[in-house]
Amino acid sequence: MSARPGEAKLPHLFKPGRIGRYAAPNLVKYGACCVSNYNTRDGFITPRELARTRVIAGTGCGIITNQGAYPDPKGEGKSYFRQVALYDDKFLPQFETIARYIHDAGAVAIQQILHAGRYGGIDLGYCVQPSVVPQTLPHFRPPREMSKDDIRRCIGEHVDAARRAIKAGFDGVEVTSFMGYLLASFNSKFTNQRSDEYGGTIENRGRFMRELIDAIKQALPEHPFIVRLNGAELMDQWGGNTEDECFELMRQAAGCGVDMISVTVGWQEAPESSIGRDVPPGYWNRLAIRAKQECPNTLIAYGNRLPDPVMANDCLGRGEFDYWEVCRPMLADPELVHKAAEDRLDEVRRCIGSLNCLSRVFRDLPYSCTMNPALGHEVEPEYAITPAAVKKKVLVIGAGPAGMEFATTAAKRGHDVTVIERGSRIGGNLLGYATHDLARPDDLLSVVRHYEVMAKKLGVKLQFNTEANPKFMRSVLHQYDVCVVAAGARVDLGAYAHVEGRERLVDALDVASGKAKAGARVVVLGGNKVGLVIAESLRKAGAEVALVESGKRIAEDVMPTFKWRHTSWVEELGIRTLTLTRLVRITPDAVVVADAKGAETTIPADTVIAAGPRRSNQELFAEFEWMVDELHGCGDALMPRGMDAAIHEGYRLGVRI
Amino acid sequence: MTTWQDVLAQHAHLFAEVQPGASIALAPGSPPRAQVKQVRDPVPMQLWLRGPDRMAVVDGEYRGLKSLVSDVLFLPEAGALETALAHEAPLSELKRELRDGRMLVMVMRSRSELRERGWSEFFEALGLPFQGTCR
Ligand SMILES: Cc1cc2nc3c(=O)[nH]c(=O)nc-3n(C[C@H](O)[C@H](O)[C@H](O)COP(=O)(O)OP(=O)(O)OC[C@H]3O[C@@H](n4cnc5c(N)ncnc54)[C@H](O)[C@@H]3O)c2cc1C
Ligand SMILES: Cc1cc2nc3c(=O)[nH]c(=O)nc-3n(C[C@H](O)[C@H](O)[C@H](O)COP(=O)(O)O)c2cc1C
Ligand code: SF4
Repeated sequence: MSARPGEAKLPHLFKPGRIGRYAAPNLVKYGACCVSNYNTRDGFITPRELARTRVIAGTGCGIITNQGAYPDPKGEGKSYFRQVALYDDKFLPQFETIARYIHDAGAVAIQQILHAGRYGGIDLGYCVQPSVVPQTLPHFRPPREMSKDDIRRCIGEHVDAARRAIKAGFDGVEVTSFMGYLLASFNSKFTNQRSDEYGGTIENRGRFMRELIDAIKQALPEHPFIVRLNGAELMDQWGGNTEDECFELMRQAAGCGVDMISVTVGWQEAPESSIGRDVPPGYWNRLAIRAKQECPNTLIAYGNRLPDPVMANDCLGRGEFDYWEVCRPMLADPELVHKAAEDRLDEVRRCIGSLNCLSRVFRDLPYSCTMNPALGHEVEPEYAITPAAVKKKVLVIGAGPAGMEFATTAAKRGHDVTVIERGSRIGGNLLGYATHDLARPDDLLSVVRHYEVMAKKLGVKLQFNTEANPKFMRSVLHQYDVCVVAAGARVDLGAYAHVEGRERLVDALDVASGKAKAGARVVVLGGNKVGLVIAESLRKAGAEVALVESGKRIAEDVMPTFKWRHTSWVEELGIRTLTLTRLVRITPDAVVVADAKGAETTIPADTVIAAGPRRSNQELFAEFEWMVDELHGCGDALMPRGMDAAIHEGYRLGVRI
Repeated sequence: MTTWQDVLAQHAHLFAEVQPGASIALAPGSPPRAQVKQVRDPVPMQLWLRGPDRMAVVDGEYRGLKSLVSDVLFLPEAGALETALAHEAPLSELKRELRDGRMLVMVMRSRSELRERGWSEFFEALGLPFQGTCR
């Protein structure tokens, strides 16, 4: 096949590679990002998973790592509710199918073995560890110490699982210690407090790993073996390994002849963010660079929070590591490598680091992706973008994420789509969110940019500064077959109708969009995601801010993995927070609130911002009912929620219409 | 001067569901992780113990993880409890200490046991997640 135009621009990424005796068509490794919770509770791979892995196989990566399977029949290694198992030949048929998909796509097939150790035993009342070191997060099971017999058996189970993977047709095997799993807990001086030959010195702590590597290499000498190891644990406060110790352990692994080390960052329990939206892309690259320097003769794979193929290409070019190992960026856009190869990087849907995927996995739900509404639904034809049987003229009201996701999806199917928008650009309330976001506005703005690019490429017509109302609708009567109301939501100022001084209220969405300005002393009513983002941003800019929430807690509508971020920002920034507190009245220079017992407090304020409750802009449904053949809605216009729901609903409507 | 007993009484609603006999042990040390040992020489600790009708603050001895019978272990840096108590909102300060590593937490029971023993409200108030967090 002749080189595609983008390959010359990213020559390092698209250079052929090699691992052991296997040739890889390029230097991209699909990281095991697939503990999906799509499988059966007893470890069998489902048709849903197979359909998903078929997409993974087609991503164009040179090496593809299949999701981590637990190796033991008891399930001590099992960390996720519907994790796949590989402790018996009865599981083989589906693994054979996956290996075939990967080979058909021309990639090297690696099966990962994931014994979760400290985070395992999900169906048991305990987990196993080198030593009894209690959990620091209540989510995980109380520990039991492994005896030497347990250790021997555990290594044997890893070897058996590895053999089985090869029998199924995989080319090689990987063992992960990502985020503190069993291997990591032996290596760490926090969790390994043994006094026998498996604990104490770093030489002893690394013994389990070395024996594991030796046993697998001896059993499968012809097949590549990869370990995932921490470059940094971020567990300093608990007395975990220092970075120097992490690299000493990498040298031990390299010394045992592993074919590749995949460098990861952080433990589940680490107080610091390692792959979230607040971590800038490329932040941890130094760990991969050091790994390469310390283990020059071992392949180094790396990619944590390095979502950009251009950056990755440059790193490869400088010899910083050998394979770009990507995970979430491929969830967000399985076409990423092909788009890069075809010089269509502007069309990529970027992973925005929202961690919706892992939030769901930790709630025992199948994972999904904010940016890729089809993820996990590959087995359902209803979610596929197929040519529309009847090409329609479609009018979309609102250029927020819901309207634009719908518009671009419908246009891909051949519909003729026009979007009308009251404002002057694409983005809706997402723009206001991005402007005030403290984590990484650029991630959110990338969503807007994506829609701008795709609307242009797909010929979606955009009409800005145009308000949809009955008069407008009458002016276009009979011109459209379908009308989709994606007009979002507004703050329900009517909810404050009884409040004295309500004329001083400012709408949070107006502050977000820049239409209204806040002063130096601000009270924000509503500790929800909109109120929080505004409060944090104003505080950061120097205003004195108080947050008043009628419920028990703030951030109740924020996704689980981001709640802690808001609560810590609120504390770090010194935002005064009053929960179980209601608004009583607004005076010319203050807000009077009352707690649950009715005790009143006066908070001086020059600006009072109403951030909730929000109310859907649904009036258009009633007004347009008799004006158009099909009338639909999506996003906040149906019910105020968030960006994820807006994107997913826009897509689902787009593939159906 | 405010005592921890006063603080627990002020926040009685957070402990309303806590079962009699359930307790939190607070064993100060510097650095806090120095206390993460199976067995150690006895050092003073504080227990927040649920009595028949309220939380009581009781003095005790910490002898390492192995002999600890409490549901939860707090490991404050030496002086951190006093700093929190001197603060106008001691629990908020405790929360800040948890967040910036001046105090560590270990749970000695499973999540469901902790729930059954009535700690959910207090944990929520401290921002201790019941979730694993891949951040
Ligand atoms: C400060 C702030 C913080 C936020 N934080 C988060 C968060 O942390 N997480 C999260 O998931 N979400 C958050 N959101 C919410 C998120 O931005 C919205 O849920 C999302 O934008 C909804 O998308 P949508 O397309 O349904 O509606 P919108 O984005 O509201 O878009 C609707 C569009 O319709 C247009 N429109 C309305 N009426 C008409 C009309 N009659 N004619 C023409 N055009 C019209 C509007 O101008 C707007 O552009 C936040 C929002 C703000 C403002
Ligand atoms: C949904 C999900 C599932 C994951 N499953 C695994 C896994 O099975 N084994 C593993 O070693 N890492 C797993 N990871 C971690 C990723 O491989 C990767 O190291 C991490 O997401 C950081 O890389 P990224 O920034 O490219 O996403 C998973 C990550 C996500 C988001
Ligand atoms: S859910 Fe968020 S973090 Fe996960 S892959 Fe999608 S965009 Fe990235």
